[in-house]
Amino acid sequence: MKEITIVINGQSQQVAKATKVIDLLAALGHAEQGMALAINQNIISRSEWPDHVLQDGDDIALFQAIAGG
Amino acid sequence: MLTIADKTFSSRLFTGTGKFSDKKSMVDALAASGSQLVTMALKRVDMQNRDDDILAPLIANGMNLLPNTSGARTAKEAVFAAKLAREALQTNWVKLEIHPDPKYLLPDPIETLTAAEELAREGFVVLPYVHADPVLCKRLEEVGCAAVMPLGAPIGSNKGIRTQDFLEIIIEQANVPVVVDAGIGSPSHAALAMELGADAVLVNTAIAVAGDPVAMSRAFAMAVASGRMAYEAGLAGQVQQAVASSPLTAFLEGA
Repeated sequence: MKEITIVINGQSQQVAKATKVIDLLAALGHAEQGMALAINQNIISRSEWPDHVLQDGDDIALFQAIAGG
Repeated sequence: MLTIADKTFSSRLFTGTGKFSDKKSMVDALAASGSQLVTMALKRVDMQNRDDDILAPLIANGMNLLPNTSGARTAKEAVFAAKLAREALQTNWVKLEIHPDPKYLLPDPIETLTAAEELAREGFVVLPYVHADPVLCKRLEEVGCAAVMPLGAPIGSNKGIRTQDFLEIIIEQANVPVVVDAGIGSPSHAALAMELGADAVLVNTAIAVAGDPVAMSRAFAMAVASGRMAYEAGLAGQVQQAVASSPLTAFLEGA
């Protein structure tokens, strides 16, 4: 199996096995600034992004800073 | 100068980034306000529609960021939101706001106190948005909040300082800065809050939806500075009866 299935904000997606968080964000075209994410309800801190490997079935919640009062 | 936790501010006008018609208008207005602390919110990324990146220009303008926990309805959600915001914006500052009721957006005091205690214990600089409740503000101070942010009127209502008597008690009792947040609809409202002795005000809607947000930002900056100056100068007291400002010398009698 070369690909795994993950869910990002409710959308199912195939990514290569051994994809890291930082690779995923780059593939999605997101700047790292202003982003945060949780995998299976656990927040993955920025310092872990280069090393954290996604697993099959991971439920990823991706957040970003926006305008607000 | 105003100091909150580890930061010092020369401007006592804090601003929100919401409700501006576009990014340029927001950046220009915030720059004109002289504000050094601006609030931001967090949302789940919409995988179809990208939101404008407003963060880069704020950072480029040297703004300190104050993420809020808007959208949280419980202490647990607010703590989670604060931790996400810390990752997203790389700051341990948080405007703690928990308002489960969308009609009046009034803050839940019990959930707020619970979340404040946990976040302060975990090293966050917590600025809680609360009703103008002097007892609650003391409790929040005791659990380690860096400031308190009592409301003047409901969020976005522009009704002004409707909680004046209670704000006065909060200001009198507080050992942490008091930032009047929500309801400030005009520069005169901001000036009043500052004259009462508030350490700062937080304004968003009144600037963002003004006909000319840049000019309104300047008006607010002047009002806040003016109100603070008046407070520091020591306002003259009020009395019921007239007290003559000119000497009553009866010089026309018998003329």
